[in-house]
Amino acid sequence: MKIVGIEKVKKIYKTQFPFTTNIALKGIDFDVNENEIFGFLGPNGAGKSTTLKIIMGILKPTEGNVEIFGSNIKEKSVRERIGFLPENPSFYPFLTAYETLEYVGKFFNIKKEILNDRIKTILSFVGLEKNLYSKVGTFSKGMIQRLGIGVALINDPELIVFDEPMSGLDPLGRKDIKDIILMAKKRGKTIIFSTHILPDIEMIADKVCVINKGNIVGIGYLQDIIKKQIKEIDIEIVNNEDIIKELDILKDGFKFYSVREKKIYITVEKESLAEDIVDLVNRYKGKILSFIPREYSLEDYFMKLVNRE
Amino acid sequence: MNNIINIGTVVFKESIRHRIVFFSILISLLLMLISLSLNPLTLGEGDRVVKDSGLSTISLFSLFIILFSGTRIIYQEIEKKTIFILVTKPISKDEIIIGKFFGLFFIISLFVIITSIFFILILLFNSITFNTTILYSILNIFFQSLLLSSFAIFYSTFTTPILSSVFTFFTYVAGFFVNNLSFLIQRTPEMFLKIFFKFLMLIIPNFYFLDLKVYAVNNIPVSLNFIFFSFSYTFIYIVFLLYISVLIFRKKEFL
Repeated sequence: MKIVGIEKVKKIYKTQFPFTTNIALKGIDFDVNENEIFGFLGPNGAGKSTTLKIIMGILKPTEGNVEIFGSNIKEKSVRERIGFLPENPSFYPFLTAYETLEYVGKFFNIKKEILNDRIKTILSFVGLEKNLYSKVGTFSKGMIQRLGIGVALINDPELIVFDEPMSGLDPLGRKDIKDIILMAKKRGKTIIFSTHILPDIEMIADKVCVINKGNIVGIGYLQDIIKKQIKEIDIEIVNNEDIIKELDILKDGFKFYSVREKKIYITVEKESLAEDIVDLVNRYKGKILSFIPREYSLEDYFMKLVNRE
Repeated sequence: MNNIINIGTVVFKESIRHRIVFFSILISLLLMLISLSLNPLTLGEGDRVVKDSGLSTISLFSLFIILFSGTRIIYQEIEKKTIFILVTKPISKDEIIIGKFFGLFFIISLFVIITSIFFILILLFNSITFNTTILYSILNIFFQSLLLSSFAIFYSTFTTPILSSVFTFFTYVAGFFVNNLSFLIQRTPEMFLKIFFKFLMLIIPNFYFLDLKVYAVNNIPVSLNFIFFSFSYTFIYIVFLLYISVLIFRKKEFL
């Protein structure tokens, strides 16, 4: 089932100077289906945050149509089913973590007793159970990010939208947030999140959308994008003059070739060429120190798309 | 209504925790007490001085609270991006503006109630004669403060806190001098200027309608009709200003 539908969405900002505009989105289309983790990938300034803000109704599209749960985001009934974490979230510093979640929870008409229990559960889920009554003004960036996730989950939303949820977090914090996203998927939620950190998407996303300069340059399921193919093979051989003579004939087909004092380093793209090198080494009774095949990664896909643009 | 009260409560909490209301109350009470000590210098007009300074203190410190809390109420929310907490939740932008106004309403109410009780106690303990006009006068100061609060919110929807404070302060000052414009209209031969002054009289709130200090100080009775008029005047003005603020805020986008 389609949860989010974006159709020919354009966003043009007026700049401070008269008669000049800045095109943030150039007419993008994509869908997000139920129970998917949808990763939104792109370099800084590509249009990720603008797209998420349009989905959340914070910005209005200049052109195009956005549908969430088959309706408009302006509908209160739609917003009741969504949780949102903005990029670098900010909260009232004079409220405690508990009061912040209570304040937001009240907008969803959650009964007091249920809300009270949910706040405690969520704060413990995001690792802030010890800071229940600490003022937000005393929180570190990581704690604010965790509180932001708590705020996004307070209404037990069906759709969760996270804008750069891992930014500014240490490796442990990033792992926790990845776990939270995966856990939300297990509970049947649909998650859209943006990032410019490739391994984050590679680890958790089902579907990836690459955006660059306001255009979608690639979209698809991760298993289709990262083909299980050998991209290149790194071979390390013990230096041997006979082998070097033979390799000099073959070296035009190598991606990388370097001879140092004791070792020969080779990178080849064709598996057949790697097999020829292994035969050659065996023939001259040489020694292969390492033979590492490398598969295509999301980074290769991303770099190819972004560089092409 | 729940959303409006929820937003209003947070505005109120912020002011309480910033201690603006606390210090305003404290200084107001001190000024009221100091006015008692001026008795020997007032040539028999001590009672009037106490009443006048008491009412002026309530009015001026209400203005101070509005300048400090009200003028940054919307701008700060946008600037610090806490607005994202609100606009992505199932509430309308109209409720945000009205909720902010209610927050100021709670703050002003708390301040006026506490300082007024203390003021009346001072009058009672010092056997200073007063009639119901003093209560009406306090009520009108309250109306005046609410009207100024709606101006502060209105300015806050499109300008910075500093400019908003300046505009609100000048609205307060202009509100007390707006009656003088009718004199200028009579004296000016230029038709264009006459229209301009009439326009100013129309848009600037006339605090003369809400100022009963002279009546209260001199124990001159005021009819309830006057209070009803000042209430209606304030109410219509506030509704109009909040409506314009809502219209501006509805069109706002948050980057």
